[in-house]
Parts: sequence; structure tokens; C-alpha cells
Amino acid sequence: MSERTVTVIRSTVPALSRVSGGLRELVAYRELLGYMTLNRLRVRYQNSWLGWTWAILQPLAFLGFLTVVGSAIGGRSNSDVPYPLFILASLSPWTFFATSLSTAAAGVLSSRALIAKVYFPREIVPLSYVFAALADLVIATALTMAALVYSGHSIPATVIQLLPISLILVIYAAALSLMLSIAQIGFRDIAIGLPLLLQGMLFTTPVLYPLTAVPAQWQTIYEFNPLALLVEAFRGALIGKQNISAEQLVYTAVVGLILFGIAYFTFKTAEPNMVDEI
Amino acid sequence: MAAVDIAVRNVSKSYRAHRDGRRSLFRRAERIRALKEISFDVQRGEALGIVGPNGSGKTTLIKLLARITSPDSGDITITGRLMSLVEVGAGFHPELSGRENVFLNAAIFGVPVTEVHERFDHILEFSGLADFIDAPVKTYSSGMFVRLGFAIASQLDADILLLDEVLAVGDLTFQARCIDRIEEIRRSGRTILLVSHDLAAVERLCDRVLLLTSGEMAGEGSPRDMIEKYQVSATKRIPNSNLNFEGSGITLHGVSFVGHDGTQPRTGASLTVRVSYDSDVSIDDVVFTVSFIWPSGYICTELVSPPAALAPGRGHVVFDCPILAIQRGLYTIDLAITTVSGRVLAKRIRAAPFRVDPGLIVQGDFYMTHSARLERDEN
Repeated sequence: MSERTVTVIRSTVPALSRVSGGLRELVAYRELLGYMTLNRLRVRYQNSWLGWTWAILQPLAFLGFLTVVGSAIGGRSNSDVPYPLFILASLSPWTFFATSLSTAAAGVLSSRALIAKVYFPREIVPLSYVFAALADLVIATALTMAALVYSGHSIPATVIQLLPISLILVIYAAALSLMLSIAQIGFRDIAIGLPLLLQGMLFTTPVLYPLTAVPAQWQTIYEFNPLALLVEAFRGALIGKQNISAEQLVYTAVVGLILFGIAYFTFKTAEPNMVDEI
Repeated sequence: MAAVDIAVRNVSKSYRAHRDGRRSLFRRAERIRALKEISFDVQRGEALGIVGPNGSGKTTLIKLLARITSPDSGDITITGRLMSLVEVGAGFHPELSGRENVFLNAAIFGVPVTEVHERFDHILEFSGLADFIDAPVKTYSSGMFVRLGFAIASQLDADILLLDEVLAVGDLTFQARCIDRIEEIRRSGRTILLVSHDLAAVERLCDRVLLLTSGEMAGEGSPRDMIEKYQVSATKRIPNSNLNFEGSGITLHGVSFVGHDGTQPRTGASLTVRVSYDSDVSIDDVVFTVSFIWPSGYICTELVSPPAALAPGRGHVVFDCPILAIQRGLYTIDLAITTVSGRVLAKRIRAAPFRVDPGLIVQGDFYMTHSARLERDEN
């Protein structure tokens, strides 16, 4: 008879092995994470009439709006890149972040049917929403690049910076999604308060304006906000005008990893009794 | 010495009671204890049945074993790949098609995709859902849900199978196939835990049965013994019926049973049943009926007296049975007096419990009077 796996179920997992053991298990379940991410996209697009066209249509439509509105209100870019692309370059990472948070927070509750019937590491649910949102970010970024080329610009060498920046962005989205989804179970208020919070964050993050437009006395405070730095860095990499230094990126990465560690630990602590509370 | 596949030690579990469904920061919720200090082992290749009334902790126990929820204290050791069907149905995503859900389920249980591709045709065939496999499962009926869930769990080779009420929803044909498949899995040496209210299926499929009542182990032993113990405790809880009918001047007083030589009734021995009555009226051609009811509520058998004239006053009717053919267990008795044309004169539902002790031991529900001889064919 082949070697059998032995599973021990206890009331609590020792605090020290919660993160390491959890991550090891998550790696073992990576196939499920991939499959669930794919399912998120399937469910979103498959049942609609336009299907997968929506994935491109959404950022494309936004680009159209920005072009019309941008020329009407005389929106300004801080580089030679046209205003609509300037906005899209920072709006895409922002949308990724906001979509991750709002879908993941609601996701654990709507996956009740699955969670109540079978075991799998529960963090896969919020994480699958983050990765599904990441797919949209990739599409939107590709579209922005295509539009850059179409409007006569070349794709800058700085786009390579998008990889580390996106990775850090994913860490933030994952950390906050884990925290929100676990908090959501205890306090349904999150669902009501989250859109408000995201709105507030949208205006305090340089999405619709460049970081340089922020008054000098506020800029230092602004630069403590990792999300502001990341969005600005993402845009900078994409349009070839990077204002964010490598040190600042390292700072966001360190804060992000600490945040993720805390979030993952909290999630794993609450996980065993999650199904009873949903 | 057989290996132990599941070892449960001192496991307790409680839930928070949401009495009014509201949650608040400022209120401490009461807790309901669903399981209290449960310990047992399941040997490799054993089929263990779990029976007990609703709310006795059966599903909680299955959920703990399936890791869906965690115990408050105690520990559980599981050796081997485990698959579960909890509370009628597998973990399905309602928006995905049946086909996609097969793969999702397999991924959840850690079954490699190649293995699912190999087994997919078997799963499809067993479920009988070929025409619906590409429709979203939210359009499925509860029967279809269970069929697909059971097909997945039973066709992918798990070492241990947890089945919670899978037999309750499918139609008769599917139930029969389920039972055959469980039997097959059991013969192949895999471990099965079966939770069911279908006591006949539990008796047929399980080697051993665990009886749970209000979160505690009330017993552990052979299926017959445990099922009978469960029936005895369940019968005590059944309230008196309000379907009694005594409007025509006739009262049914009661019923008594006497076995062979005054002993407790046993399968294969003789039985005398005595029903006493009191009548204010005189009626021609009345019929007495004593019905033996199974715990499931179905009629097992009846004793019917020939039509006789009833005179005012007290009296009784005696039924003589040379051989008590029904199997050991607990039955309930309904009494009725009717006219030959079927008009009910008096009726008492659940007038008394009736207990049959083990006598001539045979499998099944009845003892059939028989003899046998060996004959040689001459060529």
C-alpha cells in the first residue's frame, strides 16, 4: 500500500507555525488557487453576452471617456504623454487595488456554500479575487501600452519596473483583502463602509492628479502612504517618467511584507472557526 | 492488527448561539455544546455508521473530520486521503457548470487533474447527468446535486469516505446504486463513515455503529444493538397522538403481549396478543385491528379479527400467533375497531410500544417458517 498522508486536527495551531505552516499548505494547494482564479474570471465573463470582450471593453471605454472629458475640462499631464493615458496609467493599478478589496471582502461570504462543505485553505478565496483582479490589470496595462504606441510614443525601458511594483502592489492587495474578509465575517458593517473608505483613498492617492500637484507642505505626509508611492511609481514606469526612488520602493516593500505577515497571521488565527461564524 | 485510519480523542465542540440572528459588539453570545468529549477509533477498511436524533452532533462530527470546522478541544488523527459529502451535497460553486465543478471539487480534495480526466467518464456515467453536465449547477435539483456529489466522491479513489445523508435525497434507483457502490468501496478495503437516518441501510452497510445523543456517545457496537437502542430512546420522545377517535360509545382500553410460556416475545416463538375494550352499544360485525408499525412509520404487519357481534359491556379479543415472524426491534402498536364496511368506531394511534427480543436470528426483517433438506440428483 502506498504511503498515506497523516493529518492531525487540533483545536489550535501553535502561533509560531501558523504563518509558515499555512504558507506551506498554500503552496501545496496552488493548483486550486489557479483554478479558483480562473473560475472568478469565468463566472464574471462567461455568462455575459459579450463574454471575454468585456475585459478589454472596460478599460477601452474608460479611455474613451477620459479623452472626451479630458479635452473638455483641459486636464493636464505632467509629461508629454496625453492626459487620458496619463490617468489610465495610474487608474489601472488603483482599480486593481480597489477591485481586489471589494470583491475579496464580499467573496468569503458568498463562498459560504463551498466553505461549509469542504476543507481547503480559506485564504484561497480572497487571494483568488486578488489574482482575478490582477488579470484585469495586465489587460489594462497592455492596452495602455498599445495606446502609447498608437499615439506615437515608444514604450519606455522603465516598463520593466512594473514587475517589482506590481508584485508589491499584489502584496498590499492580498494583505488588506485577507484582513477585510476576516473582519467582514464578524462585522458586516465592512460591506457598507468599504466603498466610502475606497472613495476617501482614491482622493488621497495621486490617481487623478500627479504627485507633483500636491502642495509642498503635504508631500512628506503623502510619501508615507505606500499606496500613493506605488500608484505614482506604476504610472512613472509606464509613461517613462519615474519620480519614485528605489529607496521609496524598498520602503513600500518592507511595510507591505510586515502588513502581509500580520494579515496572514490574523487570518490563520480566525480560520478554524470561520465556517461557524459565516 | 489493523491500522487505525481515524482516531478521535476527547473532542468537544460548541457553537455560538445567535438567538435573534443579530450580531453586536456589546453582547456576549451563549454557546451551545454540540459535542462533548467524544473518543473513538475507526479501523482501516471498516464501515462505521453514525446514528442519532436530529441535533445529536452527527453532522458536527463529520464536519470536524472533514476539517470544515475545528474542535474546541481534543484532537483527531486521520491517516489517508479523505473525501466528504456533508449535509446533502458537495462543495459546489452555483455559477459554474457541473463539469467545471467536478474539476473544482477534485482540486479541493487534492486530486491531480490527470486523474480527474481519466475518471471523468465514470463520474458522468454514474451521476446520469450527461445532458446537464454543462449547465450551471444552480439550475440543478437537489437530487441532481447529490448524484453529482456522490459520483465525484465515490469515483475518485479516496482512502476514507465520509458520507452524510447521501441516501436521503436521491430517488429509489439512485439509492440502490449508491448502496451498491458503497458496498463495492467497502469490499475494496477502504474506510467508510456513514451518517444516515435510513436505519435499514446503516444495518446493511456498516460493520459497527456509533449512537450519538445530545452530543454524547450513547453507545458503540453492532448495528442491530445500536439501532435498537436508538429506537427505544426515540420512541420515548414521540408525543401522544391526537388522532385518537372514540366517538361511538366504544373505548379501547389497551393491549398486552405474552410470549411463549409467559416470556418476553421473541422471533420464532409463539405470541398471544390481547386487546381489551368497553362498549356502551351493541353493533353487529365489528373488526379489531392491531397494526405493528416500524420506527420509520410504515406498517410492518397487522392482525385482523374475523367480524363478530359486539355486545354492551367490557370484553377483550385474543389473537394467537403460533410463530412471531417479525425481527427483533422496537415497534409501535396502533389499535382500531371498524365495521366490516370500514367505518371507524374507535382508534388509538401509538397505543403501546412492542418490543421483540432476539430469538431465531436471521438477517432481514422477517423470519419465514421453513425447513430444508439436501437432495442428490440421480443421473
